[in-house]
Amino acid sequence: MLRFQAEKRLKNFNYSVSFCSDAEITALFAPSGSGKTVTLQMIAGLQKPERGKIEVNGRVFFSSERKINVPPQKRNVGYLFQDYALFPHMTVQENICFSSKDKNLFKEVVELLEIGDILNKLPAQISGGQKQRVALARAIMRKPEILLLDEPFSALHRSLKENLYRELFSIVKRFNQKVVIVTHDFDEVLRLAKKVVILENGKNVQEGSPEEVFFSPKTVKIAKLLGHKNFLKGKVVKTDREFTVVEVKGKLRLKLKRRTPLKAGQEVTVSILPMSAALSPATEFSRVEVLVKRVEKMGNLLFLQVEMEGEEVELHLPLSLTPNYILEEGKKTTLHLSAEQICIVEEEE
Amino acid sequence: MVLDSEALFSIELSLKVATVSTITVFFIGLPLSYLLATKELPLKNLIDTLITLPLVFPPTVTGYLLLLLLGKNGPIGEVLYRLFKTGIIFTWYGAVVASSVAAFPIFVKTARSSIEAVNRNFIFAAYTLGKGEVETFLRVVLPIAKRGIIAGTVLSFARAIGEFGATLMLAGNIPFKTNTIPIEIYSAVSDGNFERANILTAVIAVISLIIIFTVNKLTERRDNEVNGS
Repeated sequence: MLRFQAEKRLKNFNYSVSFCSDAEITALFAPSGSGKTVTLQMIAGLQKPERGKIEVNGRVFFSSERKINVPPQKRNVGYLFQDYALFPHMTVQENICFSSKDKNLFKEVVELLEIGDILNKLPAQISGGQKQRVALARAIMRKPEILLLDEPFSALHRSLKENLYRELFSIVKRFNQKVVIVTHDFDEVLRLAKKVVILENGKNVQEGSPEEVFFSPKTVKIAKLLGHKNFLKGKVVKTDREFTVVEVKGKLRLKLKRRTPLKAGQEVTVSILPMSAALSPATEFSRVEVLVKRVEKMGNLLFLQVEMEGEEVELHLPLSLTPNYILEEGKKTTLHLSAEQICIVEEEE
Repeated sequence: MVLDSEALFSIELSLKVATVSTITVFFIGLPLSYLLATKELPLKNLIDTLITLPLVFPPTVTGYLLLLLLGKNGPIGEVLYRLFKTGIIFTWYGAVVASSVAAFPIFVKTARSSIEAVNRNFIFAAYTLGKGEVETFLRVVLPIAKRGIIAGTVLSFARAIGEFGATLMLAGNIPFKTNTIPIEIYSAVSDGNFERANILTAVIAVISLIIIFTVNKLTERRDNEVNGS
């Protein structure tokens, strides 16, 4: 269990973050310069808060009240740096064994991360993905109470990331390892974490399970951070246990999955996720008439810019399921928006 | 003979003074460079200014200030006289002090900037892997910054072996006692003995070139190893 509460005056903002998590993998999600790395450094003891308390598995690392500040060497924390920080003058094996000479663990970690064939190489002689594995191996050799990963996958190719995600899961499972990961990629959060804490200018603005946060962002700003694009203001006209119907501009009725308690007549902001659109009806959907303004192919997706009751909305359709004669720029068409993919942004800023 | 026993003594003395000075500067300067490069010290700017002073001051002024400090009536000199019944003025120790003070800023500036260039995450990584300050310094910082540190050491040796002004003020020009090569060259020129001055100049040039060449070779090879090329 990680309990974190810390305050510090930083150059650009006053940092004040508090959260606790018992999840196997906790993600700290934020844009650059919001205090994610500061949080990891405070847990590791590389940066000292002015006030607060940091506790990992019942062990107090820092307490301003009790004047406790355990040095980083004694915190038993594994830290994977964004640039991996592999010692350039040591071979891969020397890097891995820097903290411990435990032969059995070494063998196990090397096998698990498949780095047996590069043990005698220097960090400058191996690839980015290999460096990442070596850095991970080095951190695990310490048998840490908590593993802190600072944007570990940001510089890696997509296919490589998938392999490393799997390896991270095996590590979590094999060593019963608690992990805190810092990222600015919400797909990564959805893929890896059981809990996410969203930071903005040194404050935690929302926390919860990644799905919960993604489908019920507290503010439009958070929603935009998560990749939401289409915000429409409307009024709740009907709500039951499963679904809510929101009316936009008195005409457009959108059906969406009910995730938070809402009352009829309540003014809300609706976010239509780009992936909500389909040409044929989904299980629960809203049928909408749109004016196609722009159609663009992007990889295996078709990016649509449409006008929906005078509002510009961006939608994505899978290319393989979309015959190109149906969507023409300047023409009206009917689309179906899945109720699962429309959400309410909880509060207005 | 041009290289008489006095000249040979001056070569031996210069090598001895430069070696002792370089060792002194290395062992005092290295921890100080590390502290200046990595820690937030309260009087960091003042310490840095004091270290830099001998670079800016004319060597004779540095020598004069050292004379005031270390002379029989100086604050440090008086203590030394009381403790050891002897002083360092007009001895080869005086030459060591003068050379060390002159070489110190060159070493610290070079070593400090090479330590500052070490990625902070290497140091942080060593800490999180359970290593203390000393082990981190010896096993991580020192090997990575070694090129700059070796360069600083070589430059310090070169500065120490060439030191003249402060040495003359503090140790004087006493044959078979404090006559280092630069002082011996000065005496030779004063006496109009240019042949002797030329040979001693060649000696000092050869010593400097050999050391710089050797160390450059040494650092070049190791640097390649680190970069894996």
